[in-house]
Amino acid sequence: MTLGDFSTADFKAGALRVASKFSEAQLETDKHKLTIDDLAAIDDVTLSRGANSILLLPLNWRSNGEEEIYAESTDSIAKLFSQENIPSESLSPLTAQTILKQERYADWVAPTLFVSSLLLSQNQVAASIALNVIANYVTDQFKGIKDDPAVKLQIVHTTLKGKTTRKISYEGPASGLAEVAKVVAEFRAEK
Amino acid sequence: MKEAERFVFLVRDTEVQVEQMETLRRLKDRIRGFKYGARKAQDEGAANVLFHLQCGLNAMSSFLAMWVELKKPDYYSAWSRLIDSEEYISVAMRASDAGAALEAFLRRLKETERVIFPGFRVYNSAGLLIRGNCSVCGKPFSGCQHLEGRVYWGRLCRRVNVDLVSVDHVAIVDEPRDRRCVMTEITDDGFYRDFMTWKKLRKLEEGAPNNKVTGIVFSFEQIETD
Repeated sequence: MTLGDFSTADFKAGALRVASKFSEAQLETDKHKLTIDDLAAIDDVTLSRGANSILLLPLNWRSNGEEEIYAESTDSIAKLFSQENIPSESLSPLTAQTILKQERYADWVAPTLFVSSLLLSQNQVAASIALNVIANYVTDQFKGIKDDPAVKLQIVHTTLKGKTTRKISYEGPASGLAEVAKVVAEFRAEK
Repeated sequence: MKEAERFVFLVRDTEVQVEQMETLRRLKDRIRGFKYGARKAQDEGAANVLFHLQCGLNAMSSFLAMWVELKKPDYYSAWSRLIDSEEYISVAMRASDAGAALEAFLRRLKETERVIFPGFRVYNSAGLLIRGNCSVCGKPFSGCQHLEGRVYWGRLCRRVNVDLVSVDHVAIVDEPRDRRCVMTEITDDGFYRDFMTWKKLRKLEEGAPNNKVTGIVFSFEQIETD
């Protein structure tokens, strides 16, 4: 479902309208793109690990058997979350052998975050703090280069009982991550 | 810096500009020495402020180098020196809060970019699969607490000793991470043209499509980060 074209000024209102649709929705302005897609259910092990912390997923987390490839930013974000006391862990341990994908375009690519409603039921602000921390970090990285740098981020979310899994994809300025946090918060209460 | 500002113009004599670069280099080396002293004295704040000054001097020196390269003329090198200068300012801003002087300098660089160069609507961008170590402590990047892009003890944290696993893709983008990766040749009207000068370089091969581009996919040039 496409919710129509919104001007940039409408992104805040539009993001919440997207959230209210809960699934298969898209919002696109001249600067932001926010999409929600339904996904197949997540395995129980990942689900239980996501109950207590935000999981940092590899880019190819859905590909069985392939060597995991993480976004280049993953190790810095893992450290940043740890320093900010945000409960998080990577799907598999990040080591010297972990392969990272370095994009040479200007957009800053975040690791894919798995955020479960179970985690949010215990720690309502985990996702919003995490996204705020990311936004501040990225803005700092681009000082003197871009005032509001472009970010690409995917959040995988499951409902409390793991019945519904969805992917929230965001492409847009770092300042828009605050609205993405609100979308995740909207999903929190869903059973 | 104030003295050097008098020489960042096209019409200034190249020898004078090179002398200014040398003066800035000597000053920068002294400041870098003080920075090492601050590290020894366990004063991270002072080390970061000194690194801020070091980057500011490097930015000015790169700006002078841009004019020198323009007059050689080596336009691609001049472009790279301008990007160096902009990157130095970005790192300086991250190293320490510095007031408005650097912002004014950055505006001047942007204006110079707009006036001197033709503008690049597209650049090359490669997606790489990599591993690497931390430039601050030398450990594998996942094994330390330093964040990429932040300044610690007067040193920019970045990935070094990069192990290139493979090249994932190459793309043409409008906003690359490294703006040194420009197009260098483009076909037009049956000829290859230099993208910067638009000079005809050679005839297009018989039957070849008239939409070929050549460019820099990856630049190994890096600014001084310690």
